Amino acid sequence: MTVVRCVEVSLTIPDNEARTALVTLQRLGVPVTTLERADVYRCDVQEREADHLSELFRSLETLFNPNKHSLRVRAGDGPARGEVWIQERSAAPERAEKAGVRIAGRRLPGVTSLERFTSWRLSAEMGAPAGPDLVQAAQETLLYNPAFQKATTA
Amino acid sequence: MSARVGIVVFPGTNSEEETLRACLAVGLEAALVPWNAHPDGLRSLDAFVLPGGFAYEDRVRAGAIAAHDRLMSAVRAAAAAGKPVLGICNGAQVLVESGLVPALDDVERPQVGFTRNAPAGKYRSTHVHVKLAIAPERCTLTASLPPGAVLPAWASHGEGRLAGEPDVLARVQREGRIAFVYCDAHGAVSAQSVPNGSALGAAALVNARGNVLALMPHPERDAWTYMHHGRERERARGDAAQMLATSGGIALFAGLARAVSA
Amino acid sequence: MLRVRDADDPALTESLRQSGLALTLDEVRRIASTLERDPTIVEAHAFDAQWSEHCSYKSSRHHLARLPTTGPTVMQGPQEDAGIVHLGEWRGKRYGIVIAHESHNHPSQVVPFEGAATGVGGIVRDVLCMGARVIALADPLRFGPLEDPHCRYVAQGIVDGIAAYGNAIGVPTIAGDVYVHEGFRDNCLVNVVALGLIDEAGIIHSAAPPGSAGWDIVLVGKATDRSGFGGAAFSSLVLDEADAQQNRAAVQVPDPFLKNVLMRASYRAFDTIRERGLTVGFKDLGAGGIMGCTAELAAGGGFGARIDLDRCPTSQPNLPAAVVAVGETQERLAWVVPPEFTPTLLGIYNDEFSLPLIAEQAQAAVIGTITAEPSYVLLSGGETVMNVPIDVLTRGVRYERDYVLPIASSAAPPEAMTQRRLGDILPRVLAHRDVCSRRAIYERFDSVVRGTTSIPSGYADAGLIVPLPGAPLACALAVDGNPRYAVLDPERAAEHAVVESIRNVVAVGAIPAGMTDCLNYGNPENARHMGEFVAGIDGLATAARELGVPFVSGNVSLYNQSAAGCAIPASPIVACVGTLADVSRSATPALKKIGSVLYRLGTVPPGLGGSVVAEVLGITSDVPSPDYDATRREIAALLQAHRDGLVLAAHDVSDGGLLVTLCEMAFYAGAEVGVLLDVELDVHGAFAESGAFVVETGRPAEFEALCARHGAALTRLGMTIAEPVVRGPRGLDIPLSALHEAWTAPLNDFYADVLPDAAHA
Repeated sequence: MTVVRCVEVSLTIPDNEARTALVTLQRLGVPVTTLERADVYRCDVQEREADHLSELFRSLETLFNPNKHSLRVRAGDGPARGEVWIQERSAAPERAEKAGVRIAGRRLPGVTSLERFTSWRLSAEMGAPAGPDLVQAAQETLLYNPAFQKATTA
Repeated sequence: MSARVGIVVFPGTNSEEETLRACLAVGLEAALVPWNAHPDGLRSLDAFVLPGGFAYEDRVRAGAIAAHDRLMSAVRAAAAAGKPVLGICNGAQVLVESGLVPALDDVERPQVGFTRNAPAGKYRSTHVHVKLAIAPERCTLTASLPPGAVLPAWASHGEGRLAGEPDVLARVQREGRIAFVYCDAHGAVSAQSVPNGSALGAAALVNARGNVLALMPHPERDAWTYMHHGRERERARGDAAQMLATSGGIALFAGLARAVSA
Repeated sequence: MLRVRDADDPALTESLRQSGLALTLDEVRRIASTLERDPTIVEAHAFDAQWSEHCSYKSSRHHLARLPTTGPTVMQGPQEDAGIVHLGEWRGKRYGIVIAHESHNHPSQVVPFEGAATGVGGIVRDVLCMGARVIALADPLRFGPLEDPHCRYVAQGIVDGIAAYGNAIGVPTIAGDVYVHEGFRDNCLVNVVALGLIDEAGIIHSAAPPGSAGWDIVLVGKATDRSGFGGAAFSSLVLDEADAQQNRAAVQVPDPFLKNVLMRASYRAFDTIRERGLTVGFKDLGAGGIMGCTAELAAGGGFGARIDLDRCPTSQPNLPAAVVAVGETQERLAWVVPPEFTPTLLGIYNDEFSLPLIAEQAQAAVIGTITAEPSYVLLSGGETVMNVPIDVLTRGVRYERDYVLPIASSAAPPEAMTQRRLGDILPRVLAHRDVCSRRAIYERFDSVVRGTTSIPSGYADAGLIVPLPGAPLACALAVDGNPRYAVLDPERAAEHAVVESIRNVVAVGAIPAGMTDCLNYGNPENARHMGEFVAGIDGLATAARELGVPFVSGNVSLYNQSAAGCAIPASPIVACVGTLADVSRSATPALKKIGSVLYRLGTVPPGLGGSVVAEVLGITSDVPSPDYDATRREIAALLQAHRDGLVLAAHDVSDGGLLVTLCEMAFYAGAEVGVLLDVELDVHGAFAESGAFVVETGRPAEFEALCARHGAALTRLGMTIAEPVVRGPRGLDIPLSALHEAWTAPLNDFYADVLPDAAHA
């Protein structure tokens, strides 16, 4: 039995990219008030290994450096309200049925499939998660290029 | 009166000086145009060059933020008026993100992308050659080049792989929007000559009208003899004037000069 | 206040620890007794930075005095952030090449991407603040074994960080080297070299000019934040895994995007200052932050300074005064200018180049004044939080550390080994970690931006640029420092670093003009490590004197030691700048013509110690001693041959030895020209690596006569041939394609196990 888990890695040092994206969206008239960026790894993981997922990812120093990153295992298997996840259109999940997916030179025991996304979390006025219209406006204005990227929302 | 070319400098642009020198070397009157200049003051310019670099540090996507810069309204107006617009490397990425190329059906939104190099997904700086893949007169900037002209250049980018939906790429090819393809020094085209996994081996895209050219590799980085390798450099050994003379990739700037004065 | 005078040693030790201060008990007591009071917290942090090894060179300064620093090529020696050598005259102006060299070892070990990127950022500011255009970079890198996943991660992060920064600011990386050694497992080395172009009349000094009392101090660049607090003290500490988390606050966050704009705005400021005929002061902020920079600017002119920390732009609220004063937020510089010029300067940065729109709160702002009274005063919240005699602060402390000179390991000379088959050994040597192609790494760096590069990195012993468009003046840059020598003999390793870097610029045809040294060593409080440092200085001084090339700037990085007490191999890394009046007289090492003659110019001293072949064959041997008389003759002969147009190609014999040199010359030519040897070589002749050049010439008689005139040893090796092979006596016959495969394979997969777009890199 496998379960779906999402691991989110975000910066603890200032994220210049997110700030520039925010300023640009605001200048272009998209009323976003905050914008946070993270890398999300969506995994199919064997149930018995699921609890070790955080530990497993923390050991992958190519993905996670405690001096500049924070890491959490999220509830749910897709974007939350106010989020859009971007990936290349051609991207396909890494799959490995038995021994575990390889990533960053390491095998992840128990992980049978892995997909990466860039997640943008938008908030509207008063810090509330942005509604679907606002998220769509932001993604179409700037956050993805539909010619070669896919956007997934809640 | 010589033509006036504006070389657009976004924050993060880094190839403006040599691009300016290449324009001046072919007799163009050219000047740097900073991103915070008011677009209205630029309407009288005869052409634009968007040079290489990392406009806005390529935040979000290569070229994405700059494509929305206020200054781009002047570049769009110039393109619409049929004036030559040349984007090199990051400038090419900006043109694609702004939809000025390939502009199928004259729609100005991103229809393809220059995205991460394959296979390693990393920035690479390597010497390449490109071959003219359209009839020279199809693009105003290449009209003075011989058919199938081969130019030396440097591919110096992390996101130079042409990518898009298969049907869009098919149209791009069918409608003659691929202006240059990667090739070897003798003009032979093969997968081995493509430094970044670009679809269709594409190195440059052109719009339907032929006045907007988006070229990923840098011709201005192999436009003077001292930059060359192999025989051209060897022939200039002991002759300072010849070593400092223009050659190779300068041909594209000569083409720009012809296009502007045409 | 930090309680010092009435605190006993254990209590003081504890309060130093709690405040995150690296000052010793002696040092902090000396501060209190000099001030005749307890220091404030801000003062304690200021002294902590200013008296650190990093800022004050307290263990190394008196040893550095032994290095030769003068000569006719020197425009400015090692007294400021960078040295300057003469390039030449062009259209009535005298131009110089500014050179600076620094390490960023500790930060790169902890946070590889940011550590290496900010290393590039720092060295660029050192050159910029002399009033120069930044024109080239080089990166000597030392990694632990790449089979180890952690070392590989560190190496990849460092390469990514250098690429991200150097490429974005638009300065070509034209040289560099990579050595991999077990001794760098816990401490990588990231050295960075930057060159600048300057018109002699435009040199700006890092000091308040004469008569500048009352002038404005203007801070430009990124707004101060919490990042990089404790950096100077951090880099003078031994790395301990357990402290990695605490080191986190010291992570410096690079912003190459802002730097790109800041550089261009500063160039505009230089031009404006020249037009107006002003004399000003300009200095970058590095260790010690605002305090360190402004105190040194003021003290450099014999003045004091008064800074209002509340006027320093910040991007985070409620920063403690000590953080604003000494935090090492990146991308900042400070000017000393007459008040009537201040509005113009602010206008350049804030309006013309719109810094505030580039990054949050980035700007130019007046933060204080130069004072006639020689004290350094900081105000915060209307209160004086620091007021100390400026010379006490900036003079630092000096230590005469104990040292034990190393004893070079010695071994019997190896057997003649004539029975060995060269053809069996050659592919193994080509595939050695220190010989194999570095293409996977140097392709990550933009070597041709600015359109001035004539020979990019990876194409020759040295990079070559034509820095002044339209002028034939050229400038070569090479780096060297071989850890395989260092572990056997630290003194000779230093000599070879000098000799090798000089030979590298000579190989392309440039005249060596000046050098920098970055001295990477272990713990100076350990007499054995200190002894390696002292021996290293001796070696550098000997070689520089013998070959007549001065050191014009340098840097010292100590405490390169893991918590377990393992120091790195002694690593004196030398960068050499060469100049050339006419770029058309330069040559690349690529073989040019079929049917030309190949020579070995010079001799290789006996001994195989530290060579690659010694490692491959398991031989122990002495590190060869440089033969300076022979080296001088070789250099003179080769430079004359370049000028006379006799050199088709030249390549210096180093890592891997003569056969590797020949193979590389063939590889550079696209493996379209082969080599036919007609001389019989033994293992030493084929693989010894501490001397001589290989030269290809089409005019052998003239070349032989020229070398005879210089008394330089010359051995005819053979010819170039059309067949793509390396062929010679006793069955040596290998296709170039097979050799090329052996040479390129080891690092081909340097990035194979990395995600295409690694998280936030």
